[in-house]
Amino acid sequence: MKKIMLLMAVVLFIGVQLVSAQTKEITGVVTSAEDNTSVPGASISVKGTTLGTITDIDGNFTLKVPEDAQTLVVSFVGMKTIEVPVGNQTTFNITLEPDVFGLDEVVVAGVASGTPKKKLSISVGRVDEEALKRVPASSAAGALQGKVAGVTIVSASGNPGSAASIRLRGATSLRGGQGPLIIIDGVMIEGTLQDINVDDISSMEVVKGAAAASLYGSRAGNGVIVITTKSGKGLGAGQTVVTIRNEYGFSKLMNKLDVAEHHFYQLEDNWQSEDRWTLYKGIEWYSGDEPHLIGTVVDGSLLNEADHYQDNPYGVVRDHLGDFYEGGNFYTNYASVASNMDRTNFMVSFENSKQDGIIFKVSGYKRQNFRLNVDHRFSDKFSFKTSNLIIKSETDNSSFDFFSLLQLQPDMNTYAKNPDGSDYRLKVDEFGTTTNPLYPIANVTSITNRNRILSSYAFTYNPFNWMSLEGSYSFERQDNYWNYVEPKGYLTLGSYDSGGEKGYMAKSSTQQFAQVVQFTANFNKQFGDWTTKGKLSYLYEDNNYKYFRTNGRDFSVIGIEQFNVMDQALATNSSNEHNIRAENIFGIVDLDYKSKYIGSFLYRYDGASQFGENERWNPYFRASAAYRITEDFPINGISELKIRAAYGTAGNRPPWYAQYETFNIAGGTPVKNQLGNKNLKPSKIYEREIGLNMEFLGRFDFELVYSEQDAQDQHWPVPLPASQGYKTQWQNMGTLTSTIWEATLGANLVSRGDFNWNMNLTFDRIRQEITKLDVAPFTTGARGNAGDPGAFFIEEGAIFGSMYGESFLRSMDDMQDQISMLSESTYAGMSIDDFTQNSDGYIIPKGTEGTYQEVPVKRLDDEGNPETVQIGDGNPDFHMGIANTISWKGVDLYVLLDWKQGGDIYSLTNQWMYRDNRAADMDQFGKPENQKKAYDYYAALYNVNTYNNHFVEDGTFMKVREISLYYNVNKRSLNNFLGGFIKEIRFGVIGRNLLTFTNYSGFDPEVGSTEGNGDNTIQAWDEFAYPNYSTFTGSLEIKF
Amino acid sequence: MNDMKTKVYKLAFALIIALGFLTYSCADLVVENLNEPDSSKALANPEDLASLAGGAFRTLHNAIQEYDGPALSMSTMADQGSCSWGNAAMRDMGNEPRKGWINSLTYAYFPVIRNLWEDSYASVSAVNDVLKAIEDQGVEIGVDGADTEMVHAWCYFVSGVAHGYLGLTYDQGNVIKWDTDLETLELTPYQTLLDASVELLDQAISIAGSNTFEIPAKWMGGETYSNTELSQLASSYAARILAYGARNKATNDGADWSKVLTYANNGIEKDLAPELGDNYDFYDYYMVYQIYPGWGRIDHRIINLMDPDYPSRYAEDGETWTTPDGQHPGEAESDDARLLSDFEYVPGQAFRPDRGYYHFSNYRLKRYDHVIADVWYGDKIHASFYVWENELLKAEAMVRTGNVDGAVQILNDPEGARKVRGQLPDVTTTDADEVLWTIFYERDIELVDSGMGIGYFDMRRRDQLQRGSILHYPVPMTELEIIQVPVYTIGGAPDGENVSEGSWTGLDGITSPLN
Repeated sequence: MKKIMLLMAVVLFIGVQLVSAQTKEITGVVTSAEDNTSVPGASISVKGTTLGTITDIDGNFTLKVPEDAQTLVVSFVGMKTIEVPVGNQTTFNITLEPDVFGLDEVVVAGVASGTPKKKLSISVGRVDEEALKRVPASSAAGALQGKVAGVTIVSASGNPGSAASIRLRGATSLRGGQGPLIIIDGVMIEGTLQDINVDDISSMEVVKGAAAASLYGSRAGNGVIVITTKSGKGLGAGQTVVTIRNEYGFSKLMNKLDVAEHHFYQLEDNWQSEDRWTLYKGIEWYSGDEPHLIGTVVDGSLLNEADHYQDNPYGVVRDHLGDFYEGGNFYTNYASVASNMDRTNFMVSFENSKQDGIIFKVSGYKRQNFRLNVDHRFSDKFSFKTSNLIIKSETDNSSFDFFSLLQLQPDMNTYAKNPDGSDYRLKVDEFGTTTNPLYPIANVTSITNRNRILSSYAFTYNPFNWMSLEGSYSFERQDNYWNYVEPKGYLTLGSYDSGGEKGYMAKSSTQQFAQVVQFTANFNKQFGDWTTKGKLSYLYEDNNYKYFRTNGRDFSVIGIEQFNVMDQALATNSSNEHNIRAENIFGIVDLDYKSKYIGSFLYRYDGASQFGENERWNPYFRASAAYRITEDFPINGISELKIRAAYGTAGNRPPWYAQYETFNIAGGTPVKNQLGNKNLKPSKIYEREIGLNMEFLGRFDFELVYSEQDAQDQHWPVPLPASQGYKTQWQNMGTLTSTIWEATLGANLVSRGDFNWNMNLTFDRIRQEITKLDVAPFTTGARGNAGDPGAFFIEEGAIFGSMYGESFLRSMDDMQDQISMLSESTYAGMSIDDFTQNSDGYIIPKGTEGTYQEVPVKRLDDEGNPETVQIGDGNPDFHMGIANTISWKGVDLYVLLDWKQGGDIYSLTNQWMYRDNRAADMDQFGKPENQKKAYDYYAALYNVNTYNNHFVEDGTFMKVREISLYYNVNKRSLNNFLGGFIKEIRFGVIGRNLLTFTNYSGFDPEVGSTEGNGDNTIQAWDEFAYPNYSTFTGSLEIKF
Repeated sequence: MNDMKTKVYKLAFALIIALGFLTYSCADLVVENLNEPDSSKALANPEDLASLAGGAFRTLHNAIQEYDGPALSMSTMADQGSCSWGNAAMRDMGNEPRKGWINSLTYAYFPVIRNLWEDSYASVSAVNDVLKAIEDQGVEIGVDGADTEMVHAWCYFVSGVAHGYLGLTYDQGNVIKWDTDLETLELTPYQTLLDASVELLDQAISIAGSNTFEIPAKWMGGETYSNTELSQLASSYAARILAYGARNKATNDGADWSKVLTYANNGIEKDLAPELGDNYDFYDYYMVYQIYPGWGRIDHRIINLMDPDYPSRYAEDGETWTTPDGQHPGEAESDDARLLSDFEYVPGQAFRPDRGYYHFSNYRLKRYDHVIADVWYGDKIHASFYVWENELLKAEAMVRTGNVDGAVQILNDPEGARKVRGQLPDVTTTDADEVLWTIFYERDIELVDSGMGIGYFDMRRRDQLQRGSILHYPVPMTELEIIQVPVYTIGGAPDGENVSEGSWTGLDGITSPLN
């Protein structure tokens, strides 16, 4: 195949000599119908060719066109694209109308070449610069939130620098991690999207579903996001624009978690005489001279209050959460210069940003981004393009002991001293093992430094006006360096009284270099009423990853933190590296007849090193079609009506290590680990999609899509019978089927003089089911891989994202149903009349309410044992984004609401808080006596951390995601100021994640966990995460 | 000029493309795993086979002594250790009244039974591969096959210990020898596992008896074993497995004690005490969590053995004691020096009363504090099989085969732990029950937190586990699902076969005879 490509390239280049058609020069000016001003940077091209130019700063253009050129296509962002007949004319006055809903916006992702949205036969969502700059997201990852239907984005951790999880449409992988392929200016990125700054982005295109993404083959099963950054190209010829934007503000945790402020232990009669700790009955406290001993227990044990009610006061109640979540700063400084100088245009930018986050003494995430984008035309036929981004970031990975934070009793003094005189006394818990979460933060250093370079280079040659050839090379280089130090004398519970540990240090480094080489031939030809666009491409990927780590112990000196001052005998090292290679060839043809009958066909043959040796190469394909009904049948009030359908495939690859037979080496000897699989093949996603697009009443733009996808041949490390010796083998073992409804409504609600109100609604409803499973059922989820069982069950016929566990009965009917089984249980011999429903809705033995014997009844199986049943479902009923843009004179108000309806959350956080009686609902203080419950009741619900329905909560929320209020200084005033030097001044206030309306009891209903085999976007799992927080900033943007 | 330029560009472009193809046309999608070996690398030569077998005992030993294995829950069930933390099912299995095991994928402490199961069979699989190579394919190991019989004996030893611990722990399992057809495997009752274990250990003893060799130090956690020492260790394991296998007193009394005696007589003369830490990758996390500050404590039942006046149970309501004055008993007193040397009185409680005062204890084991100080990475040794345990097995077998005097002699051995560490007066009685009581006393005090489950097995075979305690664990649900056997569990009504019918409680201060 490679030889064929080579031959093709050679033939094409020889063919170059044949080109020499008759040409003529045309000139013209482009103006806006809205305000009659000239339009710099508008694109003028000859239909059916790759010839084109853009207007200069005054809206003028000059272009050499073939003598027989028939039609010019004129377009500009935010304007409707028009076609202008050429005829014998050589000068043109062209007027562009505004394009309110962006139907003429050109999409480049998933298609052969740039295609206006109205002529798409697949689903590609687009977020343009206008939408991005209203509230510049703190990173590209969050910029899509609530803006495109079918896109689920979950920030499971608010930790600055941690990436949000993205899923496009339904899940395609049982293993979790539904993240799409992300391509930035041609670079397929391996690293996090969190490092990419939004100020540079000109558009984000979201290629949803396998059919649309099939162009990208075996890596694109999760869809694709194509990000294009700004260049000087959009400027008028000769124009230079300098942009400076500064944003400064602060971050704050808006939603505080309620915790219990009472206990159930007996108090001394004189308990009120001590306000530093609690005088429990039976406990003797040290109150002598040694400061660090004051408030430690000398003898005794706690005694329960006879009533078992958690309503006794502490000697002092401290605000641990307030101390810990103290808030922090947030700022972004951005400067860019963009210029269009005839043959060369460039954009150079710098951004400096810092997000402290909200945690005590933690420096958060700092980042500098440097960008250089250059386009150069050597001649009319040759051009060169490069995009370069250098990122330097630093993340404070201090150990956040959220667990201890939430288990601290209110009277524990986190600001007391340690025996060594240091602050934040570690051993704050006299009755258990909870340690002070402030201590590790104040003493442990854990910093990750990351340097990344994303570069792409592309040469384009236009041998004919209907063809271009492109050779491109791109790479991403990523270096991470992690430094972790526990200093000499670092205290642990075990070493607390003996002066602390001798110190521990770990350093690790990862290096990743991913390269892509691509050769593409593009075709664009008009045959009468047929427009054909095609692409033939070869692509090669090479990705190399290296890692090493060294740990050392026992510093011999204090203050020097290098391995050479550590005990060399205690150092341990580890390293690993791997390569991934892939290559493929694909061809695509997009056709349309009179712009109304539209079709697209593609085929891709794709090979990758991650598959077993018998299954390396696999085909992918797509066929799609659209019909623009209103082109044939004008309908009153409907300016555009299109129906479309697509069928296609894309794939997912297993991890690089999945195919191999492996032995672990422990203690220098091999141990069987994983059985190899030479037949491991891609997981293939087959998608069927139909859609409808409609623009009506001049005010509304509506899109409705229904899609079904089967993600077949799922990858999983399948456990083998113990007798095999090998623990697992990666197999293709099941099918995950999703059905998706998606709708988008754009509305120009009010357009009256200076007052404009636009609204954009996105809606999706996604259902996903495990329709085939070739292996025994198993659990997965956040803890499913860490030795503990997961709460999410994988079983044929189960909803993907459903939670399983034990169930406390909530209806007398259910109790009636299981009463016959009670002969085998602790309730043997009791009848339905012996049970009642308590004030929480649980079934309990009658007469026990409010006593220590009140124990809710579990659902039991035939043998009287607790039954494991479905207790929740993480899938929301639907998800909606509501974006409002209201402008009046120079004032712009933008509000983005994000509404998730339904979708259950499992709160392991809350379950753990039941362990130490910290949960707010255990606090009985202030309850009427007849409504109080004993701690025994809550202990039964805690259920020794076995999953159960008590900790499943509805995750419905409405979030005010983004809000901004800007004032744009009047252009006329600027023209009169400094001789018009300043072109634009915009200032305002921005709020991100401002408010959350929810009944969820935790910090934030936006939770998930990718630990183990978890998936943030489906398995809503609350386990001591860094909560999402709000930021409030002011922003000033000046262009000159 | 422009034409010239254009030509140059064309040429340059064509060159770039051609170069690109040349560079990448060798695209090779066969990528080697640079990190973990496959069998062709791990087992490239016979020495690697030896290495594969060599790691199998460590895998097994670590699984038996694992935190996330049955050891901790066995300890709370035996009322030897006490811990109200849920971890590793300590709380669920130490719960009063006792409950059955939850054999469910969603049970939080599910790995407790899965890990030992998987790792035991992983060890068996490794040594079976090697046995097959030796016995079926005639592979020779070492220079002129000098190490073949060393590896040969070793493999039977590992397989024997693995089958033994499976039989001690689970109600059923698979016996897998090197020539077993894996396609037709069926679960068989624990007794067949125990029998197979002894048979395999016999083979190890037999090969070790007729050859001279040395087991490499890294296979055993830092100490070489001669063929004689391996044979002795195999014998001691056989004694252990024969003695500890009974699920109730009746079976125990009817066990082949003369066989136990023979094995114990041929048993170890040095402690099996691997160096823990990263040097050899041997670990003993069960012991660590039994004694780590804030974690496990020693049940008052054990303190009561040393000080019969000390209540064997914590005050039921936290304050009303069974002591003569109804007050907290304070520190215990005993003739046994180990009360002070091995155990530490802790005035405060690490546990919360709402989980039951019965978890409370004022004592913890401090004997191994020097080991846990840096056990995560250090080089401390810790015994998982004491010579004294072998001696006590010998003594018990003597009593049960009618040689009470022999047993007394062992207990009174001036070199033995009872005299050296306990500094206790000589045993003078010749009453078999009293001697047995002394042996079990000695086991409870001296062997605590050494080998997994010793206290549990001892309570199990004397009908003393609290009523409702499980007498063994079910096959883990994951395995049942994979091999398509209906899921079941152990628990429910006491039957003396699967669930304890007896109980030690209420037997405070009885110094004899209690067997």
